[in-house]
Amino acid sequence: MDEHSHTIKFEFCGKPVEARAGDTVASALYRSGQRIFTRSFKYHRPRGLLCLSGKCPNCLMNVDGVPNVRTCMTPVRPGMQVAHQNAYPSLDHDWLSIAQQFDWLMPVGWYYKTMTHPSMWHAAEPYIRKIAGLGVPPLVGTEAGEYEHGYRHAEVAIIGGGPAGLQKAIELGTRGEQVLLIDDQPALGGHLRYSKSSRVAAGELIAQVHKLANVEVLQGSYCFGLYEGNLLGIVQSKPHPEAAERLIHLRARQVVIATGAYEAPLLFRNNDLVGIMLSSAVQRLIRLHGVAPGKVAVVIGSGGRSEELVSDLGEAGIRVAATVPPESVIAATGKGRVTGVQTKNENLRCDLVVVCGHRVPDAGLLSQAGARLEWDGGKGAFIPVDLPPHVFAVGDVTGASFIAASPLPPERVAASKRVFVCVCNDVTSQDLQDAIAEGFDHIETLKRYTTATMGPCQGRMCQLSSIGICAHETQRSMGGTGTTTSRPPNPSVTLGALAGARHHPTRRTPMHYEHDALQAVWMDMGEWKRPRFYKTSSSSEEKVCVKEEYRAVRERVGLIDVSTLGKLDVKGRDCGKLLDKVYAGRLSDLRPGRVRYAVLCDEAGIMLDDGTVSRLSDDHFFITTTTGNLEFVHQWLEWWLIGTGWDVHITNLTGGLAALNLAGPKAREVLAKLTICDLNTKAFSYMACRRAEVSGVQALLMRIGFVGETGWEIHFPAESGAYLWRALLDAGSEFEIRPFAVEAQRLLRLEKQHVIVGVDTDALTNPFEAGMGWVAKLDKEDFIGRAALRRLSGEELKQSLAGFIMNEGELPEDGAAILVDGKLAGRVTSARYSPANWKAVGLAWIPAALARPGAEIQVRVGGRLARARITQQAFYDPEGARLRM
Amino acid sequence: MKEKPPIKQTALFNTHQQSGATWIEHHGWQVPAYFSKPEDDAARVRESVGLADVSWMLKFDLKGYGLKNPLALGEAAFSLNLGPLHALVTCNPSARREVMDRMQRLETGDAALALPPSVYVTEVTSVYAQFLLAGPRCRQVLGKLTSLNLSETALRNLDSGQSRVAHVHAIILRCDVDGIPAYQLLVSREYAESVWESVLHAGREFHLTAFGVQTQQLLNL
Amino acid sequence: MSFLLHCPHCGDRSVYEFRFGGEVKQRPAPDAPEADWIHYSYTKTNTAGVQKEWWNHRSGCGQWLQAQRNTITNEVFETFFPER
Repeated sequence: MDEHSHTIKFEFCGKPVEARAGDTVASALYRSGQRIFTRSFKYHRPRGLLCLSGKCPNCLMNVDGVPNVRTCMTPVRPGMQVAHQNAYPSLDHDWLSIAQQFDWLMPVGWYYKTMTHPSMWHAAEPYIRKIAGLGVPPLVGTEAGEYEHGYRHAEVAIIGGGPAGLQKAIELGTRGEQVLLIDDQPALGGHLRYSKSSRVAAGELIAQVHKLANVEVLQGSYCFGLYEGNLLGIVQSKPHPEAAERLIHLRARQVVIATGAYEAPLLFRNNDLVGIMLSSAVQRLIRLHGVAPGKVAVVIGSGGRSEELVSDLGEAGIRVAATVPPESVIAATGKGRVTGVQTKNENLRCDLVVVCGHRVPDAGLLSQAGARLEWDGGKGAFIPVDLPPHVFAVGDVTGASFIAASPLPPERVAASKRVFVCVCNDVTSQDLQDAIAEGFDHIETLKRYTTATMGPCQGRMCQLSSIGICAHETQRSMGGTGTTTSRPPNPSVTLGALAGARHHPTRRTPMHYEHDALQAVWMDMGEWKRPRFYKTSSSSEEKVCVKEEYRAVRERVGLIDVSTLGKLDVKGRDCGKLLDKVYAGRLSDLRPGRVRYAVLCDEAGIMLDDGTVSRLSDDHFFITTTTGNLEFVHQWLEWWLIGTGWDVHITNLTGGLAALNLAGPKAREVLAKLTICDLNTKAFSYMACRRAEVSGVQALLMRIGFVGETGWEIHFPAESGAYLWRALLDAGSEFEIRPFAVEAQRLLRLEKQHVIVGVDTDALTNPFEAGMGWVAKLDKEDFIGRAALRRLSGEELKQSLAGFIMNEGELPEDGAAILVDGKLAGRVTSARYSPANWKAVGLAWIPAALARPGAEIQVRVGGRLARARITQQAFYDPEGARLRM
Repeated sequence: MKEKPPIKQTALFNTHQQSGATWIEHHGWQVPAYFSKPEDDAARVRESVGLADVSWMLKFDLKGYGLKNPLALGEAAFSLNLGPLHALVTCNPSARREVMDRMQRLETGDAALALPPSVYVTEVTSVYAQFLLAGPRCRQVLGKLTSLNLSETALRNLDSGQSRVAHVHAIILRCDVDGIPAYQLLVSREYAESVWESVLHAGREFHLTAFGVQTQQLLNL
Repeated sequence: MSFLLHCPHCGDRSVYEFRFGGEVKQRPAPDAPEADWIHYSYTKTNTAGVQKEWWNHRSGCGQWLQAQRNTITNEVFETFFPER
């Protein structure tokens, strides 16, 4: 069957285009008569197909909403929406092409020369962005498809499916190696697909590869980076109908680079005109797509390469007006489109100029792997040498068969604003020469100043010419001038591919959907979802709802989900030794059935975390950590066990245990309905813990009081979470129980001046400053932070964390400034309106000298200063009587 | 006030409810029996790939010097080596009594030598959500979510490894049954829904189906 | 940075699976002079070359291990679990 018999329809700028099977977007458009594909970055000069192999910027378009798509590499699909970029109103009539009349206004480095004041840049930027551009990012939610990631491992990864890559795949595959071959073209074969000069038959190689079960081919996938540890970044387009792209993280034991060589343009005036193409692009159009790219051609080149082209053009029915050597070419002529070539001797007329350009090894990946590029004058190319172990190069990327196309550095370079070195960013030979004259004569500074090699093609089209000009102007050799650095990603990668699927790990407590049913308003706490407050039947206003939750706890009874607490089970004979070593307090003397508050410090005496430690039996402890610090505390404990030989075994039970805090004057009555455990304060005193059955669920009850009321923290298996939550709410309904959430809890604890590590303290806070010096038992022989805390205990405090109460009705924000005598002296860490005090209360860092009851401070509230007084004791129930009831 | 313990719910109760699960009680747990029809679910697993919530499987965390020697826990239990002197034992709830008896024997230290127990056992059934990803396409699905090397030579049948799955720490056990390739995935319970959704999403191109315990029995998994 | 670290339990893994734990140091005795404690708490050698350092395999077995790594080239020479 004729593969061209099948037509595919798509749209270009709203107009229908017919394509044949095997077409790329670019080849189909070319066949339909389109000649201008893009408008250049700065001057809006018309640009046509140049390389047709994904190496140049000349065919970038918007495809299905995605900008900067290389249309010469994109196979056509039915119904595609293709649109041009950076031209108004159309590619053929672009009003902004007026910009080239003002090129004299844009000398090299004109940003730096013109925008000498920030205000000028801010004024000019919106216009510059509109004129100079590379497409428009898609609006959120209009992406062409989903993006995803995948992970692969291979013994050997071969990059490039040309003859060298195929031969290597066959060689290694036959040896039994597991090989992954990555090819960015629509089909295997590399240049064998369109060039008849080679003696190797592609079909035979491809058939052999397909026969090997241990060789897998990833077609239409490109490698954009080779990173440390042989990690390769691969982008696979359309891995399945729902995905636009898949980014594959490929780890390979060995990497074979078989990326071959590409062609780079030659320098002459108007070398960017539409109709001037690289020779391999012409061959691709003729052989792969059956399109004759012109009627009369001039071939610029010499030797075997140009002879091959003349023969190819002849076969396609294109008359060759002349073959001219590169040195003799002065300019191309034409306005927009090429109409002729001016040489030293004659003026030739044509509608197609075929440039047999420099051959350049596509060695970017090798450079990224650490290979050095060494100039070889005979080959006219930088050749990769000193390859690192595990990375190999085969085929044309090694430059083995190269012969220089024209001498480099060139004997003469015309300074002109029409000799385009960098087609991506419209950098001309004159720009480069001026920059060198201004002192930017190192290849790396020249790159940054002129932006040559910094465009979408990442220097593929212009690096060699830039080095040539730099070498010529500075009278250095090519090797002495050196190359710029290749960095990934190259070619470019969509941000969607890098981001991948939106898998945000989320942690949910066992009661998550109970909260949902109770109209919880959610907040994120790290990866956890926690209710911030619950809407009520009459209000969804946070202030109102929080106050109701607060009143329930203070006056009746409330229930909060605290399952996000870190929970560690610690078993073994030497638990006491470990806990005494890592916590500032003493825990080895804790009696079974008792709970103690404990603070963790580092060696510098900084407070890292706090929580409760319960002793369940002689050899069994249960630790809670703050929500965000579980992983850290677990690792910290394990770390300090190393080398001790102690019998201690730590198991993280966080996900396995639901935890609730039932608190308020009626808490005992509610809990008593569901358990036979004696809850009387004599039998179950403050800071005691017991195992008990609650409504048929085995639980650990801890009598603690973060919110300042009689209460129990109940830990029990997560699979009964929703059940026990409901059971407790049912049991409490006669007491008008209310679920309460994080915001009410923060207010309740603030009235008690209970510090939250990480909220009221920071990465420099020690217990003395936090007013919690009592947590450090300095008489212990050794513990983490003891040396620093002993030192600090003898030093005068500079600042203190202290409670304050506002004089009037203002409410400062968390973080508000504290002023003393008009000078900045500290900051508020937490402040809330306290219903118990009819005023706002809070915690703040203040100068230590002021940390005495009654001292006056000023707090900035909404741009004004308000007065407040320091209070060293809790704002609610300072004796803690309610906790012990 | 002695009450009958409540029926247990996995972390995915709500997810299964939303997917229209038909429920069944299984060893004290409320679990999906099937989603469409047990036979249809089974056919889709056999043809491509399916995902089941098997969080009701028993799990025990074992630590201690006794793990230097091979564990003798009988046929019913499967032991995964999680690290130096650290193992995870998983078994069917029907084998609870037998496996716990055997573990209890390990837990007793040598009183005469005043040595600590050679093995410390902590039940972690509640701590981990456990998924069964089964079917000919299961490796391709998992390969989209983890950088762990899943190739035939790197993770053979009954091998286990720990890495991230959908950015969450996971224990991965390969456990093919009757020629159907399969993995058990264990993640901390609070991540269950998040990881479950990620696996479903990754499996969409293979028409991944959720399946229940009745389908599992049909498939002999 | 994408080098591989060899976890003695899990095998070769991407460095992203690990948490860096700093250079291996000797903790002073409890009664050591204050200068030793200050040096231990606040000073880092910051070796340009091979150093012994702590890593935690947080995404894998969760164990702490020590590695000999060249901080310039990221070449890892040896990894092992220290005695518990």
